[in-house]
Amino acid sequence: MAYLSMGEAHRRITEYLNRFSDAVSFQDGPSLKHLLSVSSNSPNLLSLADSLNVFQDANRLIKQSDRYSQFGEMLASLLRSFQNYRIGHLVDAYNAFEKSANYSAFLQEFRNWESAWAMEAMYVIAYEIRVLAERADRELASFGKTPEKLKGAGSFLMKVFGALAGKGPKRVGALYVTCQLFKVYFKLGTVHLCRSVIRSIETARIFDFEEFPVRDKVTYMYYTGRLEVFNENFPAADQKLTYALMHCNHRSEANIRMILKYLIPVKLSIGVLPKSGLLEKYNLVEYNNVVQALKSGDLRLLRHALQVHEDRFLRSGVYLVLEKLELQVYQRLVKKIYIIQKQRDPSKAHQVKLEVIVKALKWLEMDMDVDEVECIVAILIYKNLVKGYFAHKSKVVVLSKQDPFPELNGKPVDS
Amino acid sequence: MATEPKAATEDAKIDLFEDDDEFEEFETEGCKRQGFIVFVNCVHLKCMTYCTAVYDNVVYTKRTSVDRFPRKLVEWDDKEEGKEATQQWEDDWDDDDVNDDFSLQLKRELENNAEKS
Repeated sequence: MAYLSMGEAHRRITEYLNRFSDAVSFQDGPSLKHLLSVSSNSPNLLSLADSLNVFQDANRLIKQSDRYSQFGEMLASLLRSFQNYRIGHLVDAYNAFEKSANYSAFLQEFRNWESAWAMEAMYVIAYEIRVLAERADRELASFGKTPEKLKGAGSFLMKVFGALAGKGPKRVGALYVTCQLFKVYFKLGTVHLCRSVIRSIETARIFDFEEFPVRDKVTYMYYTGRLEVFNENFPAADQKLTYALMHCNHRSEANIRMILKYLIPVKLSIGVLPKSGLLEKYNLVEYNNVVQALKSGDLRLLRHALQVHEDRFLRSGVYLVLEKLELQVYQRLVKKIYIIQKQRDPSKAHQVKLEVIVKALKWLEMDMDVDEVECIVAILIYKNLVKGYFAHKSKVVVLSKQDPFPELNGKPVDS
Repeated sequence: MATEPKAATEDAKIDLFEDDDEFEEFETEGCKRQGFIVFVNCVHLKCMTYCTAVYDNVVYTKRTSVDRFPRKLVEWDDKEEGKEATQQWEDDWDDDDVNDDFSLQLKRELENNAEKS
């Protein structure tokens, strides 16, 4: 590191303080926001942090001028955060940042400003509080202590949300803060906490969803879409994830991939398949065999695919959704048997001996006796995947002559 | 705080949850990025307004009704691009074709067994 003199350090800190107070005086949001990114590693902010570690007494500088007095407390904590982050004291960095953002400082002033001039600065604060909390928790965990900062960041973000949930122009920022909250709750595994903020966004009269920025709507639909997948509300999941997909910046390939990762199992559940090009383009090849199994009726292939990628599917929470596709694959297999029989002898095709299905399953390395197969076909009939009835004594399923294998038509299998 | 509850969560202490699929932050800056247009020209024609905008060096023309005029100028859905990914689905794949490998093998298997029994 290049040598930094006390004089130079003093100059850089003062320069930062002046920029800060100018930004506030002139209500210059874009300038202010650049001064708050503790985690950003921009050259200017790094050099500020280095200066703080050399000078060590920034508080004195703050107190020296009346210009900085309005935000004296916030600045003191903010500078402490920069200083600590630079030397890898992540818990201290978080604690200082939270203090600088809190009621006694920024948040209070922010509530008083009627216009939304500082909105972008607030976005940065919302982002930083989450990211700094994550890093602080990693530090805590590495010392064997309980990670609790991210949870605290969640509480802080709820306060910010409260400051934005009013009739004025600041309400347009509420969705961004909501999305930061989603990221916090998903990371903590406390997704049930999403419910209250979703309810506020969707039912409060002050919010008009269409007024929010596109990027926030996309993020919001992605996370609420994922929640619908967890709750197995496939039509709702389809609608939300498709919205996110349609409006996502086409250059954000990583995000598109994530949307598809959840949308594909949903689409499969309503009988819609992705074209193979899509899976290749976004590297979602783990779904290749699942799609192929649905197309062909190859139950062995489905089970194999679920086994090979079990960890991945479990981690993303789509395993159960994919496992349930088995019924659709059974439908396809029985249909194939029916078509093959029809080619051989059209007059008898609609009568399918259960033994034939047993043999087909045995070939697919699935050992089932005729009673088990009867049970499965009964389920298929019950769920309207097969139309027909049993001639139980002769162990035959008699298929309806009309549309014996109804398509899903965009609706999930009857539950 | 009582020490007992802490002991119960001791195993969870070191465990940090992760979300593999955390959405990346979108760029927020400027008119050339996600969702913002550089407003070029608006022509009022009876009750409709035609806005021509340049977004990443591509010219789009959008028709928007007058009462929504101010709001629609602020952002833009580049639906042209969005369409690409949303058109990659097929719902008419469920055909009666049994000439694929799997079906041919299945046919052979069933015929073998038919002969045997």
